[in-house]
Amino acid sequence: MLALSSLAFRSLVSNILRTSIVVGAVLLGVAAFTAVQLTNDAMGRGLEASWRVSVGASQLQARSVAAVAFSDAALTRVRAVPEVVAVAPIVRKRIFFAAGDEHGFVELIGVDPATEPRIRFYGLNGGSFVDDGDPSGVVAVTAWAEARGLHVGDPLDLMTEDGLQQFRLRGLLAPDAAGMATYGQTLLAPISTARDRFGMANRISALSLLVASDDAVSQVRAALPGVLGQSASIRTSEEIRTEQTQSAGELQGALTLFGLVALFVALFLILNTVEMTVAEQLQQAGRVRAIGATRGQVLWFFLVQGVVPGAAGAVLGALAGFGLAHALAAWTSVIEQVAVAPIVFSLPLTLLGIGVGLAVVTVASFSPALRVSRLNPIEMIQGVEATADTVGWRVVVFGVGLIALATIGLAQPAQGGLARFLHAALLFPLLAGLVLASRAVVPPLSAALGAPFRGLGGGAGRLASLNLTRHVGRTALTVGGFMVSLSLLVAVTSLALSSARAGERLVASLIPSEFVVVSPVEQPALFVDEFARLPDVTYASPVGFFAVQSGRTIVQAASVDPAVLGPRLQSIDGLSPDAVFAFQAGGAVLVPRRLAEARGLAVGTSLELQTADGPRPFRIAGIVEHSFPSADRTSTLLLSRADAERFFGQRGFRLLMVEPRANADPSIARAEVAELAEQYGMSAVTAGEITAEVAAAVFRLLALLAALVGIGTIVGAFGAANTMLMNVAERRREYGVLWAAGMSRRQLQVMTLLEAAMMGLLGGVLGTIVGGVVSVVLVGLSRTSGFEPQYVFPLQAALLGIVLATLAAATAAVVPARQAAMIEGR
Amino acid sequence: MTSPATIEQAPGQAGGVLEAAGLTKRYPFGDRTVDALQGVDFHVGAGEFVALMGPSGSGKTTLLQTAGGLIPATSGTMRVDGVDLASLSDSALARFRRERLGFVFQFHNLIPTLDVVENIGLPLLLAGQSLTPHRERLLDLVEVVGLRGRERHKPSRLSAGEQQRVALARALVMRPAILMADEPTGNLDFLSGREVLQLIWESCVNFQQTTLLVTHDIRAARYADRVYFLRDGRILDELALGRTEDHANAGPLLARLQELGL
Repeated sequence: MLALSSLAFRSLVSNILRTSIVVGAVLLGVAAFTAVQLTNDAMGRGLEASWRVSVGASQLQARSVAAVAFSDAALTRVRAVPEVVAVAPIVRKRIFFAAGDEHGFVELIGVDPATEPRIRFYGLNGGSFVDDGDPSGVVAVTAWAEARGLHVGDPLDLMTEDGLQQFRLRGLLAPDAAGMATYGQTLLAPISTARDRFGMANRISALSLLVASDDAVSQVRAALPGVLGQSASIRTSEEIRTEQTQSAGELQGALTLFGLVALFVALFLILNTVEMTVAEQLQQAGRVRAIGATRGQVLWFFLVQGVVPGAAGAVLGALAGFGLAHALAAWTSVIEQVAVAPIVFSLPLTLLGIGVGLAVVTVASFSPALRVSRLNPIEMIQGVEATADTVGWRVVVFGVGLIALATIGLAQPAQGGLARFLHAALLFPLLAGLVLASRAVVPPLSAALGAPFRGLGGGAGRLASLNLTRHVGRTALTVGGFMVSLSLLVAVTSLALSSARAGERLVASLIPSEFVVVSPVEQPALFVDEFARLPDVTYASPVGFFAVQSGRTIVQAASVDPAVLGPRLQSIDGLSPDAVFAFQAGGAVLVPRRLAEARGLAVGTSLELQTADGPRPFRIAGIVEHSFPSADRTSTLLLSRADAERFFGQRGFRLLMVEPRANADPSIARAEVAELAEQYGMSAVTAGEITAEVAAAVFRLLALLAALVGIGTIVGAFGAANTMLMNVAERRREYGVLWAAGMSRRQLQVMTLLEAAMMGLLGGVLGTIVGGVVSVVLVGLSRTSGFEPQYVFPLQAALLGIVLATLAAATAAVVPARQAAMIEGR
Repeated sequence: MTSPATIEQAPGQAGGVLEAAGLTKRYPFGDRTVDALQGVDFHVGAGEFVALMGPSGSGKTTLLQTAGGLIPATSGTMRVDGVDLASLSDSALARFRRERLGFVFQFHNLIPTLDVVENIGLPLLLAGQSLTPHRERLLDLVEVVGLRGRERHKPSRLSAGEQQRVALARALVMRPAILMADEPTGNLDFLSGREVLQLIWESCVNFQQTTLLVTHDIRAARYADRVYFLRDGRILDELALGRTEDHANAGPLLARLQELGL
């Protein structure tokens, strides 16, 4: 064993370029995989930290649904529930502030100074926390205060029920302190102050409960609906954490899958390398077998030549992944706007990266090594295996079998995060099957795609084209590397384009106006008129968002003006004038298709919603294709603003559709709207800008995934380099003949470059075909999200991919081409 | 570039004079060097059939490769029809080999992806020409080497002797002034070897083609007009056999080899 190991190591050293390519390919694959794992870990820790800040030590969160806030009596009853140790109530309101020259709107959160610190962490950069004994003392987020030049002790005016009154900045919250409002535009005040001076009596919007023990949580939770006596969303802190984890899970899953692409491509490279090593050293191994080496030793001899450089690549890749993770995490944080904690070295994840890398190289090396070890010495010496220039129909059949199994798996419905991940992961066996089965199409496709090259280089193109089919398996594995990367690139781009197009249609359907004013928080209805009164504006139509209870579930709803939005909505069965009229008349809702399908709702039936006065049936006036997106991904139920106010007390808005007059100068109209919006802390955008932003968000994610796929393409190029090095080494004598027959060095180089380029081209074309099919599946799967993308084939991206694959392969063959031209001494 | 007309015109190109003066060839071999040729001077006249004989490592293959412009000499001059090969650029040298020289080697003479006709027409393909206008010439050569009916066969379907005949046809396709053959029968059985040698000799005689044959086989060397004997990179001696159709008489050659201790 030792002697053959020594031979194997010598072989690795003597083929240092080939060994380096294997190391480099596995390095890139493992680096991408490890970087993704470390980024996912950082994302998980970021989410954990933000969850911890938001729930603190509480085990239960109760949130009022619609505008029906919790009463003081309900709070008292909750505090009396056995096993409840502390209850932290929250009231919140958006108010006007003025501090020196600065003014605007800020979220005022009223907290109980006694119980709040027991629940959540409030680190301070200066001053002290809110205190009932200091009713005029408020606490601000440090960054917000610094931006306005405020320090502890400084006065600031806040709009109370009795007009502007002076308060004082009592403390500054540290960055990692709990901040329950978005954007850090938060002021904390004692709840008594908030209720007495800001008109927030009986407006408790949320309760955080500290329970004596975790065992008692379910008991307390069961008691809460009866105690609260109204619509409420009650969730354990663990459930909130799970929801947050799930919300990031799809992104993490996508990153994991795409992080595996490079390693997947490396698998084929190693398989190809060991196959080539077998072809090269078969006779040597046969001679060794003939003089007494065992099958196990021969197996070991070839296994070592795949596993050793692969293992080195895996270790180096895991370390490189740590560096790559910093860039990936920063990118992910920016484009997906998710909380990503700093990257930290993780031994388990590093070992996981090394382990996965080792598993891949072992799997890839084992099959050819085992096959050869089963040959008898004479077969080996005669080089039976080396003449592998046939298609290899058994491999093709195996590939087709893999494709069939993966397709059957993909056709099954998948529910839940892990199931969806595993479902998507079936793409890998599908692609593996396609790579193996591609041996059947390599010869005809080579002939077809090679035709334009045949006239190049004075016969060099013709010979290059013919060379592609000399080792069909080798060519197919090399082509496969490009095919995998390109297919995923095409598929993801198709998905992105389809989603962007759907976003465009969604915006066109839901936003009838030229401008939209967007607010991060709910705004009072009184602002609507101010926009409507602008000189160049025809109308301002608000859209509010709130949650309502229907049966035992919470449904997200949007309040809209039927006259403005009704005519634009796309109904799945034709929104009749009667339906619009019924919607306008009141007591009716429009249901988004996905919600209707999920709940089995039909036009003409009714949907019971929990109003301030108890349960009430609402007639389903129509089922619409698109509605506003909601966090639960079923899209929002649509109610008229009149019904929203009458039955749910909802008057505020988050979106305001503003239409300029027909004869108004668009730039002037926009300036008017933007100026007013800015005054109230909102922003004005055009419908086109929203469409562009939707597309940009989609394409930012695409860019991230494409970068991971790009690493796979680089590995594919490594594969092409490796194959061409082997081809050149094998054909040294043949090149000598060509040289003698009058081929110039340049022609030899051109022949080598063209052969590699044709492999890239083949991979690109096959990848585009496969990617086109895969994208149909992906687009279909993505429809479960409530978003309705229609299939778009990314022609430009596909062409670009084909060109890049061709160029990458040709570039990879520069060194082999030089070697081909160095023919002296053959 | 040779025009098709040129190829079809003459029975053979004029010239074919090989002149070597002080030719040396030094190869790096690990941390030392090997002198494969050590100051070789020789002259081969137009239309002459010359054999190079000598033991393994004597430098005969190196001399043929240097004379054919396949490898550059370390020093000295190698002229073909008065042209110093060292003065030619890579592409000019490639064109020179394609148009003026034909080569036959012992092994691996054919391109496995090309069929018989394409292998024969390889120099034309490398010149960027289509084979279609030369079809008649190519089929004539197929006929000459006795492979009619095997035109579309790939090398893997041919015997070693048939492969060598295809290689010879390829070497002749451009009607080169000089044919260089390196152990062309070394891998063949007696009958196949004799067929190939007969074809080489007929080509030399019929087309006044200069022929340089490397061999250690007396039966092959008997076809030559003259034989150079090499040892340790030097020409030891030469023997004029004269042109004869009787290639059976090995006496003088054997006697000289014994004299030289080869």
